[in-house]
Amino acid sequence: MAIVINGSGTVTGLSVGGLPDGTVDAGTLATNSVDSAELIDGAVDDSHMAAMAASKLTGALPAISGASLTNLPAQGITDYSVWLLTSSVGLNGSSSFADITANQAESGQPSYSRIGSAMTVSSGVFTFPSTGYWLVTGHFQAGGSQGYARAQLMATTNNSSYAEVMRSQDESGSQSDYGYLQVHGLIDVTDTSNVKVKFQQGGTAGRFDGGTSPPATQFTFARIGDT
Amino acid sequence: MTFTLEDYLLSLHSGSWFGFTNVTNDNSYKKYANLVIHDDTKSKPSESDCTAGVAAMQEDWDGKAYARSREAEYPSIADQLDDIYHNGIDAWKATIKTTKDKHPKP
Repeated sequence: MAIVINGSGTVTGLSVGGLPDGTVDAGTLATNSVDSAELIDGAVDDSHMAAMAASKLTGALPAISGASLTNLPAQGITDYSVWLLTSSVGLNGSSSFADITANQAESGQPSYSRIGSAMTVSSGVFTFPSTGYWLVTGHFQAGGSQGYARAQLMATTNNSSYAEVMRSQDESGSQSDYGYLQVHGLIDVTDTSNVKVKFQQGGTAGRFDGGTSPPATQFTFARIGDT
Repeated sequence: MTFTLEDYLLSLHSGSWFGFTNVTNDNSYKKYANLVIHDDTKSKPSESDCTAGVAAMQEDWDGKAYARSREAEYPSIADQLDDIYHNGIDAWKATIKTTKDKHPKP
């Protein structure tokens, strides 16, 4: 077919591929004139992708391997430590509570290995090594005489006044029987200087057993997420 | 039951007034040489006082073995009341005496 240059400003008679390679540049194409129908599958490779707006990642997304993701915040338990009551503490003999002020040491059991950073303790007050949501537990073994035993987890947010987090009571303690108490709480540690915890004892059942063989009374601290 | 130094110390005061240093994984650290006092208002008992105190607790416990044996064998309070109601005081006393005779007081 002959190529005809019309007086109307058009050219007819061109075959597909009739122009020499490389003769049509970006300036020749009108703005917004090329849509996806003119692109073959796979034509847009990584080097031709500009930054993608988050708004484009909607609807059903393809599965992305976690190994491909970067700069994720720390997840899961990043700190976990176990502390033992190394000597028994005599219960105060009444229904009121008294602080457990001494004999708390990090476990040295052969099977134990701390995750992350350890707590610090001074006169029974535990300080967290970092901010975050911390799951705190206390497990107590009571015994020594007939009566009841009480345990309590206390927390402060101003390093001064403490409030109850959880209280537990057992009434099975006797000279030859044992009672078991558990307290736990989720502590939002927004400031390691001011948010702290301590444990308290009360009751008439004689004592909370302390020692390492077996470890009868222990405290655990698990950081389970960012605050 | 065998009483220990820790048992004696717990009988003196309540709270976390004492502890032991040189903690090991077998409780062998709980001995007088490692004893420390955390509470300034409490005095450290002498080693001889501790030794005598543990011995006294053990003697008291051992001396009441008969009482613990009797307690374990006595009928329940409900059964004893029922015995008294149906059989009278003398029959009840005879029942109790059987246990007392079985475990005589030293």
